[in-house]
Amino acid sequence: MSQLVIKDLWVSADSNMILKGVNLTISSEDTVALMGPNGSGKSTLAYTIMGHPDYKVEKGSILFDGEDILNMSVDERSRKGLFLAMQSPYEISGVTNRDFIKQASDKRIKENGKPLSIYKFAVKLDKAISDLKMDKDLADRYVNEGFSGGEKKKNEILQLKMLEPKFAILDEIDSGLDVDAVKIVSDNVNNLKKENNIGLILISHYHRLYEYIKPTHAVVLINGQLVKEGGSELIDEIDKYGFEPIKREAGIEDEVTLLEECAFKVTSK
Amino acid sequence: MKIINSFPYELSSEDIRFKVKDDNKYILNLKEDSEVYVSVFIEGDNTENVSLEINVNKYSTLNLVLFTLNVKSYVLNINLYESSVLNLTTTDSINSDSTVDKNINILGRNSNVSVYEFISSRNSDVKKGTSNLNHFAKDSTSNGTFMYLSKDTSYITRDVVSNVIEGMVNSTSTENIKGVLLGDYARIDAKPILKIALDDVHVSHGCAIGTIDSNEVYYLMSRGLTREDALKMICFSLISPVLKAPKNDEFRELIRGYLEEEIK
Repeated sequence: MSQLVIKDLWVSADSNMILKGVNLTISSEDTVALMGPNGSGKSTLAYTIMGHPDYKVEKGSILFDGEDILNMSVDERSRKGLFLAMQSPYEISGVTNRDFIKQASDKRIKENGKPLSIYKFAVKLDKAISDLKMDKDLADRYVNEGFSGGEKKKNEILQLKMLEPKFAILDEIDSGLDVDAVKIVSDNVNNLKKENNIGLILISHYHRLYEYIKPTHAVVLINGQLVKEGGSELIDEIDKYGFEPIKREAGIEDEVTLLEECAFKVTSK
Repeated sequence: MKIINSFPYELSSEDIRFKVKDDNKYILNLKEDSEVYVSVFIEGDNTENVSLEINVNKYSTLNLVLFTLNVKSYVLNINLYESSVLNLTTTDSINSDSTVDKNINILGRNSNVSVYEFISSRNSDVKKGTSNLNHFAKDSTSNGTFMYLSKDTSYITRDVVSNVIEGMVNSTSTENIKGVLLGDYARIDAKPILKIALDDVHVSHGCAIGTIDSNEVYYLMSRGLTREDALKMICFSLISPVLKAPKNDEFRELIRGYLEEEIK
């Protein structure tokens, strides 16, 4: 069983402190819904785990199977078994999906110490494409170039299926997908979870995704801090009442509210 | 691949190879009402002032991959006559300064041109010249993609010109330039130029020059590729259209080595 342990994590970007002491432990048996209002630091946490150079870790540690990954390069983290399905996947003109995924697969998937043969890789890729109900020609198109929003998200899941990580973070994987596509993507993620027992962190603003991929628990991130944890009932609660009750409970006020209050006090004087 | 030494030469779908000498002119013709896929390998020895003329006659389609090796300076003129089509993929390999001027001359109406040009430079080499898409006829279309890669302390300077002269109505021309700098002192000056002498045309241009996008590198690395592999893959993406263009594997493998050396 794999384990990801985040301890007292402080992260800044462009000199702004975004994460302020995040603590979180997730095992590969978990499916965690990472929730929070816009700008609360969810994607920052995802990208920090995956080593994006724009995010600077000021303090804390991230242990993956007991090893501190903060000193590892992005590719080392990936080969260790981490995967981030991105909210806005990048386009790479001139590189075909097939070549890209084959090369990435060669780095990660070994059979008797060797990369998958071209034949086995092709069979696996064809099956994954068919499972996701993607157009077959997407394999030979350039990575994400000219893809619709939905195709890009499916392409992230295609890579997830092909690269078989131990832990995956799915950052708003449902945005840009139509109702049927959300179901298809969710079925694929659920199968992957069942077959490979991968740990999952799901980031989504929509309750619908959590109906298809059932989280084992949920955590709420507000202003860079984890303020509440709970079971799936927490997701229902947020869906019904939003984040305001949690903010009040945690004694957090919006910056906008604070500014409004200041303005009111100044005007009153 | 057929080795030829007699000119003018009539193009067919058989790939050809020939050597060029200083100050000489070479003519290749495609006859009327024909369609060919051909790759042409031109070999010099730091050769200068070479002139190459290709004529695409009426109602013909030429799918051409043109590779020049060690030709220090040459002028390419491709002339298209009425209702002809040119799909050109062109690149060079030379480990020294060079000057290359390419003129695609649309002389007959209802003609279409598509160009993919790849030029790379390394060490302290200077690669200069012009690529002209000349619309000398009505109802014609040209689309050009121009990819430049400069390494080390080398310098690429090129003008890419869409030239639509007066009276050539209903012409369409697009030119897209992408330049990639690999090295703190590498330089690319690429000018997208539109010379338009009338209103009834559709023309556009784009030019982006910079280092490799760090987000692209991050994306590839996040899937397990090392930084070196990621950079290599992105550089290879510039030459992949060139390597995909030849019909013949023998030709593809012949130019692969030179191109890989260029971007290594």
